[in-house]
Amino acid sequence: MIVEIISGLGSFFIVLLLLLLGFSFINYQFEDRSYGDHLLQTYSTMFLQFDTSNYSPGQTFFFVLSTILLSIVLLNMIISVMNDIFNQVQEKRALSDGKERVFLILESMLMKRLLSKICFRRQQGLLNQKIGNPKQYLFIIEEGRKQFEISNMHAIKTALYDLQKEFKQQMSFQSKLKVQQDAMEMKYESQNSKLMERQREFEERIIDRIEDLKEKITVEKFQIPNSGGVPSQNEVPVEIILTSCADHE
Amino acid sequence: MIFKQITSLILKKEVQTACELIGKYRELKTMPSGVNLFHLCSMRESNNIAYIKKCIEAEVRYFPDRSLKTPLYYLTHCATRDSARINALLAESEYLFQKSRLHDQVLRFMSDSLFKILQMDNPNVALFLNAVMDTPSSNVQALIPSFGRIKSRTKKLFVCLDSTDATAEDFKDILPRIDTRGTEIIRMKYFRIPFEFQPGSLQLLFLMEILQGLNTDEIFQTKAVRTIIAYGWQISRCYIYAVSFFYCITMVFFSAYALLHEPHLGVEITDFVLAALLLLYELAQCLSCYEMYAKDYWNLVDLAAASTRIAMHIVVWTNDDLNLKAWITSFALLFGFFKVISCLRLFERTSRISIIFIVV
Repeated sequence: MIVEIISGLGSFFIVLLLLLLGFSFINYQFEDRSYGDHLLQTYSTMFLQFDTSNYSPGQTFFFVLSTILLSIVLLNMIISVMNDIFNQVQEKRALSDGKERVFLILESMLMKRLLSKICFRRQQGLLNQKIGNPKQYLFIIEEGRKQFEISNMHAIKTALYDLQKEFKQQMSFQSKLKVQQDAMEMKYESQNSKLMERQREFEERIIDRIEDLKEKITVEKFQIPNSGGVPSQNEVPVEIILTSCADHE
Repeated sequence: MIFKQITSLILKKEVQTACELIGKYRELKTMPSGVNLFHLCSMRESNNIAYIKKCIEAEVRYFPDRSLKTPLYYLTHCATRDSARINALLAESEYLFQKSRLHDQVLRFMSDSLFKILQMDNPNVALFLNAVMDTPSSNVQALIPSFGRIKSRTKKLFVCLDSTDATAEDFKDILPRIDTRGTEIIRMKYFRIPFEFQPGSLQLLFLMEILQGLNTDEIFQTKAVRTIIAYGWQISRCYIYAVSFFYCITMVFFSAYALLHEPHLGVEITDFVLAALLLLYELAQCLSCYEMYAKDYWNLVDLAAASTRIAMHIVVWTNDDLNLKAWITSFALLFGFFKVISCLRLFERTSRISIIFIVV
């Protein structure tokens, strides 16, 4: 946790260092003292320790600027940055606390092993016994009060996880539906194309039939002239055939 | 014959056809090996997540084969470990390892796979860990009082048993530590995977090593991991407290030495011996597991504290430069008190304060 906080503050310290260097260089222009003294003076300014009695107007201007930047802005910034990082680490409290404890446990276990190796060097039996331990079930008996603190963030995370799970389920259901819809569409398309094909065949057949009948009528016209103008039973008028075909369609 | 057909389809990577057959013949099993379709789909050659998903969807039974290997074993022990397939399986842990005695038989053979699963280090592992903690049967629960107060500061008691069907004999050491006059509810849970939980066992040590390398918050929030850490703390805390107490005593002695105006050989030698012991302890820690030692930054503070103290004595005995002595003594005191503050993390109430104090 400490490492995380310090690494998070790294960028802040770079800004602080640059400002300290900058203002100490500025102070160096006004007074004839060593640079180290000016650096220390600028650092003291950050903690509101200063003596402005001998300052020139230019020095006073930069002094005001340095107090605003170093004391007011940066010191408040460090508090807010630390607060942010601390909150971030708090969100992962279980992890940081758990790992911290595991480190201590592991350290003690390793040292105990080392000590037992040194102390019971000749009694190898003891060590061998530790290597081949039987497997057991671990039972925990505890008081029923709320043992483990669950932070608000954890509660939100759990809720979010449940929502995600639900969303995933719905998505999978939707994808299944989509697959089924696609399959239905494909089936419909194939049926439709089959129907169209059959229709086309039927049309062709009718057209062929009409052609045949036309030919037939033409042949009969030339071969058997009708005296009374009334068509015989075998002679069907072309208009009637065409109407019936249209009805059928 | 069908099994052979499915195998050849998997080898030919005809996923859809193979999945159709898996769904159709979900009860298929080869004898005498006891390998079923779930095992087949978990093997290296079936490197497609669709097979695992189909097995779960078709409710193919999840059980160990004759060699006591479960599908998760095949998946985790494969040379080319397929994270996607393992995650697909772990995500369904709640269904696969339902909290029943029947499923306990499956988890019985998973102690070897547990390490590999933990090393996956993702939220799906947390789902698996949630499934491995359960309340024991009502017969076992009846062996301890339902209400009372646990006579322990941590309010937790641990028992390691060979079987889940415990008897009154198994709890005879525990019962006197439960005060039946208390009004708190007493609950019992158990870790469903049998493990070498004895203090000092290699498996427990290895488990702790894996846990300290994990970075998923969800894993540390699970009841299973919290129970293991609490158990580890229970068996190690006496040693940790003793070492910390010894360090605090040495620090008191060192502070007294730092206040001396006139050199006193007896005090100097005693402090040197104490510092040498601390340095030896740190070196022993470092040698026992170098990687782990370097990972914990507190150890570096400990090492600096011990070495600066030794250096201070060497400077005092070999050099008359008071300025140098003052510098080294100051650093030794600084690191020493950092170490004392680090000891505060052993206590829950002060752990957070110690961290904030150091940072500020």
